[in-house]
Amino acid sequence: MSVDASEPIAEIDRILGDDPACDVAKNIAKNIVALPPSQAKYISYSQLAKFGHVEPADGRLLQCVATLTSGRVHLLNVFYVYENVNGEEYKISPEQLQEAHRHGFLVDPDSGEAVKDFRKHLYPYFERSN
Amino acid sequence: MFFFFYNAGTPYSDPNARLLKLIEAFQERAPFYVAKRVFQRHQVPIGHGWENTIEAATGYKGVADVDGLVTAYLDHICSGEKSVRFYDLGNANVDNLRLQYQNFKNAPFLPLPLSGQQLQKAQLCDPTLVYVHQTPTGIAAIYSSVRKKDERQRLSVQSLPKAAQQAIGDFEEIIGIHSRKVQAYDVVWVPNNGRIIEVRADFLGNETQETVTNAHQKIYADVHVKSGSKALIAPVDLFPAIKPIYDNSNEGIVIELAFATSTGSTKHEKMRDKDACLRKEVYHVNGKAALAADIEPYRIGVRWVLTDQHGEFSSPELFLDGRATMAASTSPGLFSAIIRKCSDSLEYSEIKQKLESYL
Repeated sequence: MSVDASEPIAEIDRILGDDPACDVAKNIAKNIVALPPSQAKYISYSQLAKFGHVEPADGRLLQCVATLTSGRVHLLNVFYVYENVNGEEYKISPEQLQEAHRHGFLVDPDSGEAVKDFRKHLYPYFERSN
Repeated sequence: MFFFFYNAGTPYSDPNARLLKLIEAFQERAPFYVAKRVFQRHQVPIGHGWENTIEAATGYKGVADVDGLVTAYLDHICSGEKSVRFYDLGNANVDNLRLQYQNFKNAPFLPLPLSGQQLQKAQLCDPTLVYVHQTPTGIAAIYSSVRKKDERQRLSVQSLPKAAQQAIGDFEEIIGIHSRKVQAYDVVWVPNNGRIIEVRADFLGNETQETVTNAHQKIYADVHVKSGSKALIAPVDLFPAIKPIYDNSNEGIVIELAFATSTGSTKHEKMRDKDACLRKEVYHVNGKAALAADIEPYRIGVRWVLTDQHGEFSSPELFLDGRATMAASTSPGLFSAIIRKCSDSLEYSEIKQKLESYL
């Protein structure tokens, strides 16, 4: 079942107003709220670009992501997937990420080895927050 | 002789040295998250990754349950990260095999694996029986071998000498293959009751299929001789378990499935979210619904969430990796199952019993 778009869209209007990113954010929001819950769990950055009818490299997209994940709109949660050298993927919890930043390396969940350049191997994904 | 014994006078008579050696031994064979669960049970300090865990344990003044950790290590050798084959030997042959193992002259202490330079200098060798572990429910006959495995490693170009960096050109990262030796422990499990034995070959990741198959064959050859069997016995075919496991929606979480369709395609699907079951995934459900004929699964990966006696969660996995053509055969011949991420033999037995219930 999809969720109601009116509240997040009103909040986007209040935050972005006349900003060129406003329509992009609203397009994304409309598409996100239309998704059934089981299809709103693993949304890539490029999928958001398609929802917003912009290219992934478009600067407005970053602004939209910041707005849609903000506490005020809170339509999207971001999470990170780590891909190891064998192509295996691991969803990284916020605690794991915090630890990685604190120590300066991420621990590969399978091998337990330190991954110092972990930022290069983390991929952001989004899920609808409710 | 390539084993260490921790009797008096050896470096491992010191509990802290023994603790460090055991951590190193776990590092060689257990996924980090499995090792962490074992360490928690035995009050071993855990750091951020293996390196920090070893650092935390060095000179550790707390009270780690080192003897408990030795037992847990033995348990992991017997039941952790395994490629399993089942053989129905028949009553007489199983009795002979049991007797042969009971008569094996055991070393007085649990052998610990080689590591570092000693391991890298050791000759590659086939599995040899080194230790017989009698448990209340059966015998675990432990075979040891030195095998080779290839690990992919990321190398930073910046870490290379200037000349190499220039020769490589415009690359930021290189993937290297680190070929190294590992000491593997394969186990023959002979239950106190029943005539079906198991060969549990180590499957620690990154070994080639040939290496693991070779270990299975070498160990079966020894079992064949010890059991006095007149005929060669084929392992139990596990392929018939795949479809009923998939069809039982209450049985674990399907994380991987490969199947053939009557439209002439094969599909290999995996869940990226390990907590979600592929059986219920929208694309999978609707793709299936669009077909007039049933799909034919030939490969499955299932994960279970188990709770142990202390209320701790674990998530062992079973993989049955068949090929598409097996679904078209009257004798498919899928002989090995992979059972991974078990932290002890209780978890392993639970997964094994689930598998057996479909055969």
